[in-house]
Amino acid sequence: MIWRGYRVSEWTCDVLMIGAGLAGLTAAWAAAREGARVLVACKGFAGADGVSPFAGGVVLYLLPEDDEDGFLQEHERLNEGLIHPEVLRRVIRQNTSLWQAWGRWGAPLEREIDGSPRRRWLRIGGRSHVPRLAVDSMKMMQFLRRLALRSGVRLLEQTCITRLLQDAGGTLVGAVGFQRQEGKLVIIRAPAVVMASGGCSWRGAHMGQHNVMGDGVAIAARLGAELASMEFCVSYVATCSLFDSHGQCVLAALGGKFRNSLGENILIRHGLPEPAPTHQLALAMVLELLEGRGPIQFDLRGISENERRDWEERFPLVARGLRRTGRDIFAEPVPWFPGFTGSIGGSGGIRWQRLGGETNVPGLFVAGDAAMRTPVTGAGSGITFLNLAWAGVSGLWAGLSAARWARGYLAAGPEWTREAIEEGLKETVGPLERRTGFSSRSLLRQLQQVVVDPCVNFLRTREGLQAALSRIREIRRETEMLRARDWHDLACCHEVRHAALVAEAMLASAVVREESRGWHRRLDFPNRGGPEWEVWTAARLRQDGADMDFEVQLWLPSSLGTEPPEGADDLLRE
Amino acid sequence: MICFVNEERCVGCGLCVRVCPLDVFRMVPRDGRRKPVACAVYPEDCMSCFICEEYCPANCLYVSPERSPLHAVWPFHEEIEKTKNGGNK
Ligand code: SF4
Ligand code: SF4
Repeated sequence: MIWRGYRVSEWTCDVLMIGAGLAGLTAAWAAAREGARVLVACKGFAGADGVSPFAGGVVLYLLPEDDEDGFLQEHERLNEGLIHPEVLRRVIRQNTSLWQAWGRWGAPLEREIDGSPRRRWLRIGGRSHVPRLAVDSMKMMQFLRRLALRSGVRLLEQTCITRLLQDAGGTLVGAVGFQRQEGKLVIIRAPAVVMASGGCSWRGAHMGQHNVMGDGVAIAARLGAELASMEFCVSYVATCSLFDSHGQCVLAALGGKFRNSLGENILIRHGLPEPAPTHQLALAMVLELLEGRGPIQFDLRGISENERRDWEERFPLVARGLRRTGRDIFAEPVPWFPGFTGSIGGSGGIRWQRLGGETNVPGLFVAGDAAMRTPVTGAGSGITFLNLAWAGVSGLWAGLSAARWARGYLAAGPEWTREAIEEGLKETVGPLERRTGFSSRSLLRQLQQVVVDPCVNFLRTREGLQAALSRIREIRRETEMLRARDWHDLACCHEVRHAALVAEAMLASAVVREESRGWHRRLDFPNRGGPEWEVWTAARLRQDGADMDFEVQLWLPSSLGTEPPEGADDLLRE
Repeated sequence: MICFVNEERCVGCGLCVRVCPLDVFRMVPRDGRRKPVACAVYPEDCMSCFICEEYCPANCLYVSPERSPLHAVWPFHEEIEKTKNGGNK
């Protein structure tokens, strides 16, 4: 079809999956097995999309004989609260059966002689030893791509979704977007959508994360979905100054030491455990830099040859980059700095109400980093091995519930209006049609100026946050006047637009939380609050005259549904 | 420019165009070549993730890990830039 001179391709499915990382592909597979016709729309290539290919082989793997209670307590302590123990327990158990099933179906895992997944133990937070699986993430993603394709999932790659469509009653009916390489618009009819498009990196400095820009979070917010725990969307993971790397936590667990310019171990200086939870390490690094004792060097000389080889196998891409710099980080200390990872290491995202990923928008489900993760990972990044676990399990559950929703809904017949589509397409091509306007690059820089600065983020004050918020509002308004040079740039324009809205939700939520914990550090409220702060924030976009505004409320963990959708284990039994 | 294409060896399969998460490549016609070859037309968007290099069947892509200079968003960017090449201060 042609719309105002643009080529348009039209698609119909029962469940539309947005994003094709670990969460998206798992959800796609589960929904297809549940009988739904599934379409996956992703910006990259399914199997090499999102941050999953860089989640270097660390996924939690607790067996029934392990001390689950002990793990939960330690986890709660390291992440400084806000965890929902019941939810976390269910995620941990489902995660084990999920990886067991994948293991049986030939996933690229390290194995014991009897074929069962091989476990390794990683020291974290000073004392606990956490069992994890060793996975080659890139191969794992290719495995999940094959699994999804074999169950009949269709793929729409290099495709950016820009807007979700609702019927008159507010129920979801589909989405619009475009294929950037073909210069073509897309219209997708779908009664159920799973948002699995990842978190928001604001293109900070860390390996492989520049393509996650909060797209799904912003699109959902514009539709009226609530965003939860957004104040925790500022995370920093140590990265090598020579090139964007990842895998720091494993190196630290093997005995790597962070030293300041005086040669002091900065964790000891700040009274932190070794290795420290990521958020504590980041704060220590920032303080050292601010107080003039930078640069921070990462000293890996204590790591044995065997451990080194093992690490290189686990993180082949970083190891390759490393070799190419011509420097040997294991032989000489090299500067590292706190690279910004936004909401990827943090825990804010679209609020779900039940474990099937159900949101407050009928028909919209959420999984992975796009979903709020606080109930599972709390306020910090104490033990990060849960992020992949959450991606897989939330994908599995959301895929199942979305497929069931679609089945129920189809009987009633989806209704959508010409006007809704028109409006969505107009919004999509807006930046292409503008003769003048801001460039995506310059607005991204301005956005980063407000969002990325670790000095600001670790030293939050009411005044500082409010000033940042009004600046972000200005930028967000300017993102409605972006001009795209071509279809490639059109994707960048929409990304900047989305990232600006996510930043606004983050700052608005940070103003409300008057305490410090995890990634959220307030100079004016430096201590962790009492039980009255064991609550989560929820930010909702509302119309404010001609403009919009986030209204932030607090909500109690008790309102969260903790029953996962039925039948997940049956799917995994085959 | 962070990603280099060895055009001589490129077999024109187009896989790099499909897999790059940041849409860096396009296939472009070249004189004397039957098929269009890969070209990094948006090199400034490359994030050095190595995915294209992983997938290329002809082994003709080379990703340089070099970090593009950190801009002023990073409060310590000057310090970090200084340390990139000499190691210790
Ligand atoms: S390294 Fe990554 S971002 Fe750069 S061109 Fe290759 S696939 Fe694209
Ligand atoms: S993947 Fe390699 S061979 Fe194929 S088009 Fe790209 S550069 Fe050429």
